Amino acid sequence: MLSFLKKDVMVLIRDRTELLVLLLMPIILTVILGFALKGMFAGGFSSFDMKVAVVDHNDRQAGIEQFTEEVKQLSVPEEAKDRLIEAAESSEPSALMMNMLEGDELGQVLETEKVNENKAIEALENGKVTALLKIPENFTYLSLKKMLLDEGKSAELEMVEGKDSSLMAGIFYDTVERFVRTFNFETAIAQAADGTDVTRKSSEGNQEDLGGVITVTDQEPISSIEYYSIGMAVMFAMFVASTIASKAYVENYQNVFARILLSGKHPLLFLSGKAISTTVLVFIQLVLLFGMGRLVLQAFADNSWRFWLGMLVIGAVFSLCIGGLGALLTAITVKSESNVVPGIFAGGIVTVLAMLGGSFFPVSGMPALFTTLGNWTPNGIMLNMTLQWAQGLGMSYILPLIFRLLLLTVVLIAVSLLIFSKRRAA
Amino acid sequence: MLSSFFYTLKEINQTVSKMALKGEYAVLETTNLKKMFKKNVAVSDVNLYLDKGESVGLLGPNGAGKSTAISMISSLVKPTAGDVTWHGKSVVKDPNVIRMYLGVVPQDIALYKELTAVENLRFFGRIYGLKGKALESQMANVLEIVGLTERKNELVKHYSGGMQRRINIAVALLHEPEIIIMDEPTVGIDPQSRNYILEMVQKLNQEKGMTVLYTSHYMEEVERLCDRIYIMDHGKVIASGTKQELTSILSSEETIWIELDRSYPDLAAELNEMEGVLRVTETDNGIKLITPKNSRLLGSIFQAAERQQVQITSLNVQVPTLEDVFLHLTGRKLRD
Ligand SMILES: Nc1ncnc2c1ncn2[C@@H]1O[C@H](COP(=O)(O)OP(=O)(O)O)[C@@H](O)[C@H]1O
Ligand SMILES: [Mg+2]
Repeated sequence: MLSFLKKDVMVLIRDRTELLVLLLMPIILTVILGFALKGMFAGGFSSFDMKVAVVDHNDRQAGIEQFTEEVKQLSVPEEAKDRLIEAAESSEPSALMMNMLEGDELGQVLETEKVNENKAIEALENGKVTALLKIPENFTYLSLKKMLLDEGKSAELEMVEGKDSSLMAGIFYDTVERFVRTFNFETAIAQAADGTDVTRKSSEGNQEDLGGVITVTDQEPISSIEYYSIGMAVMFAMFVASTIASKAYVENYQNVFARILLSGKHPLLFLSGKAISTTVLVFIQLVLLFGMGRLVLQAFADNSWRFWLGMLVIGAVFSLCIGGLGALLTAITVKSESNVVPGIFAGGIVTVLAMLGGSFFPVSGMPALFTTLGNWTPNGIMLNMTLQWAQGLGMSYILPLIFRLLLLTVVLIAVSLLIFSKRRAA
Repeated sequence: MLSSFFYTLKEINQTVSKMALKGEYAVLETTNLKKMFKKNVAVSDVNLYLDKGESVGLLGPNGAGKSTAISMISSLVKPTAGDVTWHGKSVVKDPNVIRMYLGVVPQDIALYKELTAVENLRFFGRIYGLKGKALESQMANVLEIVGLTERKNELVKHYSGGMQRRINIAVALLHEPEIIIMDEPTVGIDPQSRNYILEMVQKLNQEKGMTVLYTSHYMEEVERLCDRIYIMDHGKVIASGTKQELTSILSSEETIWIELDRSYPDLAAELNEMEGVLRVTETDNGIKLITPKNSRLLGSIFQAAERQQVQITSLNVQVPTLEDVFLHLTGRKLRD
């Protein structure tokens, strides 16, 4: 098997033009697109505008007054009473939260709208808002009491997420939760999806949707150079698959394939050799391109080993998927005994896939069908995954995408096996 | 037509009697091998055998079905009917019975042209299970045989046609096969390379005792290399035997070449009328006569030339070649 890999790598390395296309082109395009479309990413790029409906049943003033009254009854020194009341007024939780949601950082991607409950639910149902945040009655009073006096039951913030926006809603949830934690409100948040209460975990399964780029995390926003480093890398990875298939075509028509069969090697060894070669080559390509992006273009400033380890894992899974693609193209090529399919793939399909997957421009603003298709392209999944990872979203966000990629790999390999084994029957 | 029928029969008899007499199997044998591509019959009822250490030729024009027959023998193509056996075991049922013992030199160069000779050898050696020192020494060995040791590190695509052919052969020899099947290994190369390859095959056969099945449409090559020859046409074996046996088909005839300074249709016409002349063919610079053996017509030919005032530049009485045999059997030339 190793000799197959070595041979494939050597054959590719000898092909200077192909090598330049696979390694130099993406860098050049990254630079070109990165600078040309910088404007699109000005001030940090966000692929979505999240609208959140806020249903506020809480009366701040009344809450503070009620709390103040209670503090006055306490048998503590006057000085302490004054400090508590002061704290209640300065860090009234719902005001702080709204400030955060509407503030500089989040305000760019998040639009909040105070509406009444019926309207909010309607907006959620027809997809006009991503999530609904309900501030319950007595929120101010209850959370101040819990926070400052550690008394009573905590107030519950209720969040309802829309059907097709679980990732964004998830991020919103995380943001609110982090806020709550930071301010030590000890406020329980009950999250509900589609109106029914669910735990955080159970909604993870459908979080993978869309993604795009999110700037609501701790990380710096994605720059245009970073965006295209990833976009071009995932696009040009697909060219590796078609290149490998074209080489397989040459092997078939120059009879080396026959010669390999004559040695008694099972034909599937040839096919799996192609899958592995593609995988390894794509992986090397990604390492080189991202390495280039990091060192020359100053992309991906995060230097933590955790970040790069994650990148390696993501990259490995993606390479495996493109390996499956390589096997599929090889199977079709060898079976049809023509170079047409890899040609069409490299000459057209890659571009379409790259477009759908967001390699040329972020696709989150596109029609639903467009983004849904994009979310099932290996490059689209990889792009989203990498962007999310680069934004500092945790493993729990990208895990579903990894599984989707693996599923795609299995399908690709199964189909190529099916096609390839038909050939032997002929 | 009759004679071709006769020789097919004779051949079957040979095969049958051989097994009956010796009570053992030929190294390689095909029985009623047939291949159809859709409705076209590429190979039909081919029966041939090779004994250990034999050098056997498969001679036939382009499209005769030689490559198809070889592909079936080497287990790459499944026959439509018939069987191939290696020491009595069916190759069709289990291709692995032959693969390790078989070296195939395909008609087209089956190599990675972007890699060097050494890289090609190493890859193919590995997939044949050779490793380490054994691999390296075998590589050196076959490079020596094909005379490419000095240029082993060049890319195959930079090789001349002849060198590509030679390295194509070298790869087939790597795993030290017992039998080597060569499919037109000298097509389209210069005379020196060709000669080198022919000598090499001869050496492999005579000095190393390798069994050889050699396919060609050049009759000189099979005449020079092969102990026995099968002549194929239109997918069928139309004659087989040693060179002597084959040419003895024509032993009742001889060919007289009359070389002239130009074409003389009148002379050809007169010769055609002459008693004892079987066939007259006009060529660019002369006339070819087929006559019964020992017909003693030379005197009459000179007289006719004198009458027509024709200058004969040379005259040559020729023993029949395989080319003539083919012509005789099919009415066509081997090379069109
Ligand atoms: N794969 C194929 N499909 C269809 N026809 C074929 C195929 N291979 C060979 N043939 C036909 O079979 C005949 C014999 O071809 P081939 O064995 O290559 O002859 P040779 O090697 O003697 O020149 C030819 O008529 C050729 O066109
Ligand atoms: Mg041929």
